[in-house]
Amino acid sequence: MRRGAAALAAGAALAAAGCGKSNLAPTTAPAPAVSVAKAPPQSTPGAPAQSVPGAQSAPAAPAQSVPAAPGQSAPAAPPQSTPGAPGRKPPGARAPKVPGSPGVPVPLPLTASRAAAFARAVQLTTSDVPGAHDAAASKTPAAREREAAQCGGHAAPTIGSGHSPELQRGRGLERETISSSVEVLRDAHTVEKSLSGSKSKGGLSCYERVLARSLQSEADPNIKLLGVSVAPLQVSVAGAGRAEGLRILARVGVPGAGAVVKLFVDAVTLPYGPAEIDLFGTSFVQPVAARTEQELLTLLHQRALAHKL
Amino acid sequence: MSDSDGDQRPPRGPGRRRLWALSVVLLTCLGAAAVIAATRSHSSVRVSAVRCIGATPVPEVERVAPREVGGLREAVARALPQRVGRLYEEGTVSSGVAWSDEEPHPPALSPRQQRPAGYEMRWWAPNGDDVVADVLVFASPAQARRYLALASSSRCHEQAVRGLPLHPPLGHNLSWLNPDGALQADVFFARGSRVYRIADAPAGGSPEAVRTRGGLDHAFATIDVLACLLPSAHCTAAPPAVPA
Repeated sequence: MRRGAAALAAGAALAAAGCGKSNLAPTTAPAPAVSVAKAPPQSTPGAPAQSVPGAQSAPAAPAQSVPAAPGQSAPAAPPQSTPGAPGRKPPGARAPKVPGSPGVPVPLPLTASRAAAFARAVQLTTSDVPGAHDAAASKTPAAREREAAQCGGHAAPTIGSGHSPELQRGRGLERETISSSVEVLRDAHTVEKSLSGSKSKGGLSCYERVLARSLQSEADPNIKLLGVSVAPLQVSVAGAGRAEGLRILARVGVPGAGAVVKLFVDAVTLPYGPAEIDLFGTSFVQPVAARTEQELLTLLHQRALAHKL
Repeated sequence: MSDSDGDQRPPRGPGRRRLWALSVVLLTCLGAAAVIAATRSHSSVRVSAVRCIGATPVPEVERVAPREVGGLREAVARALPQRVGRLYEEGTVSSGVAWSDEEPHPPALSPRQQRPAGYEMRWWAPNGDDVVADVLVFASPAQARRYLALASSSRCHEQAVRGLPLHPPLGHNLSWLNPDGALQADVFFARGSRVYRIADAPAGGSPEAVRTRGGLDHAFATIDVLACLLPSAHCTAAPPAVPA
């Protein structure tokens, strides 16, 4: 439920920060003459290439899976998917209990201040995302947030929460924004219930509608939103099972430039006892690297283990 | 049916069944042995490279405050600009990376902990090649030059062949069989106390197949051009575009 609101916030942030604002047009200029070699048919830099025997250092098995979503037939950067990979399950299925997660020790009653202190201790900082600076977060209209929150059912009350700065790095098409948030609910069961509500087919369609409206209303008038799709996303986290969430793909056209730019917004949640640890990644053309998301979620989890709730 | 037909039928009787079962077991074992041999050959290459370089006094990169790592990333991020390739991995590295091809380190638990002054980014190029860019910062220009000499030499590199590129100035080319058993083309150059490396492991096929179809030449042409995109390369003439 709050994942939807968070995803919407991320999408809106993207719309406000990069989706067609003054700096987009220059970035859609033709890329420098460094188009690396010929692209063979069906050549897709990404998951398929990982199975190429000549690959230099086979990256770890992609721990991120994104079932095909409408409108994602031929993304410039195909999502990494691992059919049959451990941890993969049909979209819409109920969130599994993360091993050990309900056993997170909560020795004292949860209070707003303790929850906020925990959130502060866990959050990402600029040091965690090399090259990033603290960018101003965009404000999502409260009405849209409420609307998105309803996509997954009723939002459970939060005891305390905190979020990182919007960590932005790169320029033009290379720009990506990464952030995290921590929300402490009443107990692990409430978290599980909260997360299971947002993954249904109806929930995803709902997010698509709300996001499309939000992006259309907030984006720069010089760009045109060509479509929004939402797909479930799973990321394996070392020692903590897997995080689940959404991958939002928005296709944006720049009239006159004849360019279509893809915007990816990933919003994934790792349950940790009574807390939800969220990671958001927004990026042009291709999603934030799966490995980066995996490492940052692992880092957040390690910090959570190191700090008592 | 003829005898030959009978040979094509599944074996009958306990003797033939046993023989059949043994054949299946034997084939399975042979298959498993082949897999193990292949895996071992790769891991043994890595182990021997690490051992070899462990016996050589290779300068190590400096350690820097976390805020300085961003500058290192900036120094190599332009190697494959504007999302031409798909960035799949990045992070800090140590100086052994020129031999071990180890994956970049994950972010440190403590935001204040010092990090190695080496940064690597890895992309899948549109043609499926694996392209890598590194920057390594040493205590002094002399250490950087020593590292450059070692890293671009055939020492501890399997099947190494050295060369001198047209670009960037004072660059060094090296082809070698990396610890994953793939052919790889590297270009190194030093600027002050920094050493830069751009590498390309051509996609597809065995090392022989890559050589036969000119994949290595193409990889060298690619990395020499990409190296000139780095702000520190100081290429005097505009390099040609990456070959199609």
